[in-house]
Amino acid sequence: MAREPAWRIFAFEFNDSMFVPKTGQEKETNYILTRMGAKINRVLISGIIENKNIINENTFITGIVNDRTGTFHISADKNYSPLKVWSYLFSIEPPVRVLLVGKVRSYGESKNLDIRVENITECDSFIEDYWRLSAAINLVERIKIMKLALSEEKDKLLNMGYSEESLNSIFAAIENFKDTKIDAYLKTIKEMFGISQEEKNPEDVILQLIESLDFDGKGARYEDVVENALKEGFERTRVDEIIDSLLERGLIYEPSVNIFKKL
Amino acid sequence: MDDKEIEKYVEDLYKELDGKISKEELRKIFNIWLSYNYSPEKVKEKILQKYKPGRILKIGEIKEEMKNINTVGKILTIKLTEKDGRRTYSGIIGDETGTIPFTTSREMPFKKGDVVRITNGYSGYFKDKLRLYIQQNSGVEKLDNYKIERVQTVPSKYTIDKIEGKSRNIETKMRILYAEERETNGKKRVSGIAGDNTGTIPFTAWNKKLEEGKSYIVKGAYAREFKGKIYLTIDENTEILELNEDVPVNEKIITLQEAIKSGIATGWFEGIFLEVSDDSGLIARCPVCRKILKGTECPEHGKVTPINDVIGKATFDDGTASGRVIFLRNEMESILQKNFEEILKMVVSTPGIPVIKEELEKRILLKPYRILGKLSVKDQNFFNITIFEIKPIGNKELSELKERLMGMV
Repeated sequence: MAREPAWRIFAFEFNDSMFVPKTGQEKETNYILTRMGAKINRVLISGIIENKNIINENTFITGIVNDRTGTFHISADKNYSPLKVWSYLFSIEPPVRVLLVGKVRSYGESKNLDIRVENITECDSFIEDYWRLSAAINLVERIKIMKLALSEEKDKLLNMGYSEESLNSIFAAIENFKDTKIDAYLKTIKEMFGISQEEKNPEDVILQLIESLDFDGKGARYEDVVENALKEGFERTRVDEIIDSLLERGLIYEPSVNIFKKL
Repeated sequence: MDDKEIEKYVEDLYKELDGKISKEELRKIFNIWLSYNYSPEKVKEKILQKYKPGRILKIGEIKEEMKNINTVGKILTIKLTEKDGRRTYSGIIGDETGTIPFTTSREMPFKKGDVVRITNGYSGYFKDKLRLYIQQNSGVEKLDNYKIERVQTVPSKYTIDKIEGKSRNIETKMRILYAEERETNGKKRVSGIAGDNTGTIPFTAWNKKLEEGKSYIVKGAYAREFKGKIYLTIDENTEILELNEDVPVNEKIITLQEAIKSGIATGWFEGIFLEVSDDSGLIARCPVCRKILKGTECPEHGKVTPINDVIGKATFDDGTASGRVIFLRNEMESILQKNFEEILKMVVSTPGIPVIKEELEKRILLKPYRILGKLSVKDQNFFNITIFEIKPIGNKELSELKERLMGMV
């Protein structure tokens, strides 16, 4: 088994997820599947430890980490967690800003989501900012693939270079959650980073693509334009419409068949 | 285009056509063609083709989309390929003004070094290269008494991302990001990683001086492909000039998963160290083969007096995959900000404590870094990363990430 990567993920997506049902094999890895199609075993998170509880006769610690989008439940076990992690959590007085890596597990009758801490350190706001940006970029990447998955065939996406594994998770999420809530997710990110809601004019986007894909001065190939536009979240039919309109308005011309050039 | 420039072209044409056409006439024709939006070079070509159809072009004069090309060149390479019963000759011919690849389905029973006259060929671009096409009704004839002593092979300019396994005679500007010198069979060999603002490439240079951090212009290198990866070879015939200014190197970040999938071995990665391994610390090496020893016995060299060294191992994760990074003495010294003597002293003064591991943790654990590294995949699930350069994420990198996010939403 490859070592599980540590997903940088916000609490609001982490908590909007389901446990992947187990198949009954021994030593099976715990996974959750988020609404945006991330299949996760290990996470890297950052935020403020708001409170902690030492329970079970000083053998178990639980805590709450707030990342400004929601909260994570974390835990450490005196007998199973690394000594360093245990003694750190034992000694701190919340609130403390931390960066931590851990594995997901479920606990209790109600199958609550919990992160068993593997390594943890106090961090400054710079590290937290870095983490927030990485988490946001990763999430937007996932949303991008999810948008594509809603309109294109899987084979097409494989050809575009997305991995089989990530696509399987994305399609599983679409099937399980039905409503993908893409717009709500995007809005959350935009608000988080103070990005204005103003949409870019779609014609400008395509025009810019045609210009930037014109590598040799002879024009941009139709397939390249479509390929890149799909990645920007356009649908194929919409791209055709826009190209027609740009041609009509004389902003681009077609020097040869299926080659477009900006005027 | 002003009258003065036009006059220069008219003058040239007048001479070229031995005064057969009056300057006045030439000026008139020239202006007519120009008014059809042809470039002056193209106009000149059109006029020459009309009034001097049989003239012999120098190879360097062959431009795009020319017809009735007559030229003489020396065959530099030639090969015959047979596919579905069709025989195609292809190769490169050149003279003192340049070289050009040619392709033909005509019989060309010639060999490297032969000088040939080609008549009625045409030219065009294919796969970004200007080529000379020889048709069935073209003339091809070997010239026995015609000597071409010197062939001007002009290297083709490449940015690093455009270099392919088959690229030959490469000219590129690059900065040496990492270099290691070795001697093999008495020949000095420098191998390492070079980069420009489009990417990075591993290179090997024979009997050349290339220093880490310096920028060079390289003319006449070639590429080869090995196990799906592209390497640049700089041999003794390659010309190397040191540049005074640094070639900017783009730290295009790729994910570990992309690297594993595409087989790119070397690149910049961005991630966090999640764990420092327990076997980070002092080690003993065989003084002969530098193998890490368990005691004073080397499996190859018997009883030896081991030399001390220090090593660090850590898990690096970028959110898509994770690999094991190995820090050798140089990197350990720079991360711990201590020289080897000081590291030794530190260990001696804190007996029984894994002080090197702890110090390494203090510096790198759960901190973001950019690394220039090379992956060596052991099997599908496990790989080592050898580090050439490592730097912590700073404000500059943070604003880059911010910009990237802005561009995405």
